[in-house]
Amino acid sequence: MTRHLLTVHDLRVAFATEAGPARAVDGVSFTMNAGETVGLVGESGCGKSLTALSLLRLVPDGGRIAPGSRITFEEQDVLAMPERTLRALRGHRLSMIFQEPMTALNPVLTVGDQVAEVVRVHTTASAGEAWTRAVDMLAQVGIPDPAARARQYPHELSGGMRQRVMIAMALILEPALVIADEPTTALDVTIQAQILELLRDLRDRTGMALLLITHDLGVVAEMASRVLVMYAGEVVEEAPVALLFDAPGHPYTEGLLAAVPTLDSTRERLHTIPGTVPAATAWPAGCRFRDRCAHAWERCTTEPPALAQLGPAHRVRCHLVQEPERRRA
Amino acid sequence: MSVSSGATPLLEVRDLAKHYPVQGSWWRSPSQFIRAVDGVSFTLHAGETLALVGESGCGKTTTGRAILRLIEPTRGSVRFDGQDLLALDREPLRRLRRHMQIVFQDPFGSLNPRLTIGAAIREGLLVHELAQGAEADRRVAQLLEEVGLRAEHASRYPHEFSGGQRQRVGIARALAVAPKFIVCDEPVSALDVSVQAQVVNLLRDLQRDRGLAYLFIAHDLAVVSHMADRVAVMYLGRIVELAPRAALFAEPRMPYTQALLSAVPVPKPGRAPRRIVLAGDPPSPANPPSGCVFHPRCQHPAKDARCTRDVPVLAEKSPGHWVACHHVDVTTPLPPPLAPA
Amino acid sequence: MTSRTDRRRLALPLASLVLLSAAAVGAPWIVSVPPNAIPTDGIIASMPPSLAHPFGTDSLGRDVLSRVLHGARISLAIALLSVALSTSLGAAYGAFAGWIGGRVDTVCMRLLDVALSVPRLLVLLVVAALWGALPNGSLVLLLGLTGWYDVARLVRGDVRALREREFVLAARATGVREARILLRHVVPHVWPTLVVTATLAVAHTIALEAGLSFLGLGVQPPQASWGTILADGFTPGGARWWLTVFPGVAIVTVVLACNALGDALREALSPRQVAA
Repeated sequence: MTRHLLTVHDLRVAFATEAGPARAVDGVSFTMNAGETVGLVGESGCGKSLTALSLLRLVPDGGRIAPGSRITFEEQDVLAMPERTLRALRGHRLSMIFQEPMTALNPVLTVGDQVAEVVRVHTTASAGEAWTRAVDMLAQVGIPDPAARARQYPHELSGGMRQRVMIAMALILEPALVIADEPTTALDVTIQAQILELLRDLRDRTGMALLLITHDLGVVAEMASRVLVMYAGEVVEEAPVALLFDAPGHPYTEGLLAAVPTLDSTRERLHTIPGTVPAATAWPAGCRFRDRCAHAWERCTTEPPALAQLGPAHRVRCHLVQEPERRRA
Repeated sequence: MSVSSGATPLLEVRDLAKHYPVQGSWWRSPSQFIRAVDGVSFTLHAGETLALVGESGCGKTTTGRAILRLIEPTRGSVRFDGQDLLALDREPLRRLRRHMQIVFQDPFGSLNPRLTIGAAIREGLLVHELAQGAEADRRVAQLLEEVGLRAEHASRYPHEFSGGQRQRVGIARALAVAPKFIVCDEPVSALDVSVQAQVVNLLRDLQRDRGLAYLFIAHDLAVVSHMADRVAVMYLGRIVELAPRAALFAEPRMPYTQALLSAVPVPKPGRAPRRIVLAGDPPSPANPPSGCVFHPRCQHPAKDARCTRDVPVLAEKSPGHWVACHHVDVTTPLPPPLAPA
Repeated sequence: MTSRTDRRRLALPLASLVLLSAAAVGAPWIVSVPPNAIPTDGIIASMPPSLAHPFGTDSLGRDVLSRVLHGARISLAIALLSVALSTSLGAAYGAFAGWIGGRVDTVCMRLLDVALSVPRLLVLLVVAALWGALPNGSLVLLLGLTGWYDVARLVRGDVRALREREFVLAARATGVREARILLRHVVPHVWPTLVVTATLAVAHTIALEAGLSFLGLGVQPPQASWGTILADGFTPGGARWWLTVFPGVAIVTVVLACNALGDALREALSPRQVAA
């Protein structure tokens, strides 16, 4: 067995709320190999962004990673390492691209300074060298006239340009893993196409691994080789991308795929998943999807399904794996 | 002749424009304008859905609000049900609002957090004197059920609902006055995929049951392909292409529409589309390019000096298919977009 | 609407204010000695606190406890009435400017800037000095007419922001009349601002009135107000700490309680935007 670049084992993150603890991420396990692109998909509140933040130990205030959770990155225990080691890791070997570059960039520093700062913090480069590398990186992410743009402030750039700056910051030290949290959600579709192309291009050039968090199944289909589907704080399905779209195993994945409108539609009704996602403070016992599932039977209300092997590299958290005859047409 | 298809339209918009002053102040006139909407014309028939699509800043939301006079247009005309909306005084306009409603994008901001949703829905009934007291309660309950909520929800406040449920409340509020026409301003953009599908289906069911006409404003072309009868594509304050849905998706003529459609990620792995990736960002509407507004980013092989010089007219290039481009073959003579109906 | 923490934060300041107001209202029944009664039967002037006079007596032998309690009536009444005046004025002005918008708004705000550029204390001192002894009614008017600028600015800001909110637009699109939109969709959202600023203004006005009265420009002797009692403590004849401490404690208590209440209200009155 090859050594994994990243191993997440039984990750649990809970928030204290007035209605009791909210188990926003509840036992997530997965691995990633070097150079691989994994899509982490799910709807709002499923815990996908929180999972990503936990990988960098950046859980928001009030949240706590439960003991027993384990994150191993390049054979280092991320959750156990001292703050200093962690800081050395962040932005260097493991970096993150956020959804909203306007809030993730510092408004009072020029974008060149912000990219150069990453170099200064993690290497012994001089200010001059760092600046040169920053301008060079801005050119690589497709910013026209990078030497002049580097002297501008975030508000002087368009949304697409700001996202390019974020990508330059994340990639300048050629990290082994980049986590991109909804990197194109705030962008228009033609700009999204530019950014996806850029990410693909940089990934192929640098050989970085990419964990792509998104709600957009189109983006996943285009970018990822493997997909994790999250629902109610858990991974409910894991599969190679082609298999997931061709033969989804979990009723939720199936419903989600059917609900996505496509361009070649003939204006037929969209498939819907009835009901809404339960609250994180009160996950139902048994299967968390059962109230919205067309196949659910007694076993689903009592016994929480485990992530079971449906085929090679295909795992599904559903009792239908053991009892496929229960599937309704 | 007008940008339409047959019969007398319910809504007829001609040369609508909204310019916002910049750099002005209270003692001197502004020297520069943002041309948020700059000469938009189209028609909409009873029971029809016209989608208005485009990227942020193209003026689609401003168009929707200017039609309803929630924003006062700078110029143009809007005829609704035979009446010139822009000529109406405040009181007749207020009374006419019964027949034209709006559903907003943001299900959090568009409901008053201090009113119960029942009170929000009732308001239209009361101000237009359609129902009072117990009768109004009954109508509110009926409306809530029609949009897939429960009657007892009427006494709850907006914060007790999810985004999708709030959007249903927004729809119920618009329906309360039994309008003929609803501007749907990105009604599903803020919603998750599975909830989005529910709301899209709801809007279509309501249209079928009540014969509503929708101006469906959206940036998501896939959603539009499930909702629209006809689609108008906007770029920098103008309509650059308008066609029946099938024609537009199968055979986009304007280079911008082609790029826009090709940019949509397809949820089918291994079927990467032939993509036209546009360079750069859309120009600023404060300082739009000369000639065709799309020319700086256009990749059409025949692009020439004419594109930078002359503004292309939105012309009917094949039946019902209107395109604003110098390099799409002209099959019918160019009618002026302002020709009388 | 209010959560447990909100209620806890409201309790203490509210309780102290209620207690003080009750004492002020009930002053004639709590103390038997009238505040201005000068004893004729012997020398009990300038006595430190004792059982007969828990807060001591002043240089004329008047009972300080009675004067502090009766003074509370005057001080609180002046503060409450002038704040009611200034808050209404400010709310009306701010709502008008914010709702109309455009040039009207700009002109209104420039006028306000001019008014704000003149220090309030200076205006008060000059007018009071020119007028000589002000009757209490005029004092209320003076404090009210000079105290509404901040309220106007805040309300105007709120109304401008609310005017752009989509639920206001939605109401307009429904065909609701402007007056009703203002009353139902705008004013309820301005209430918290008004309540909070008014509470804080009471604190400020109490202190201001005490200051003016201390200088002899506010409430006129022999009437008791916290400011005049403080002033009595500074008449020749040696230090009499009880004349400074008791009205001083009363002023500090009210000011602190009002400020704490204002902050707690600010938290408690903001509507919940998301489900807990």
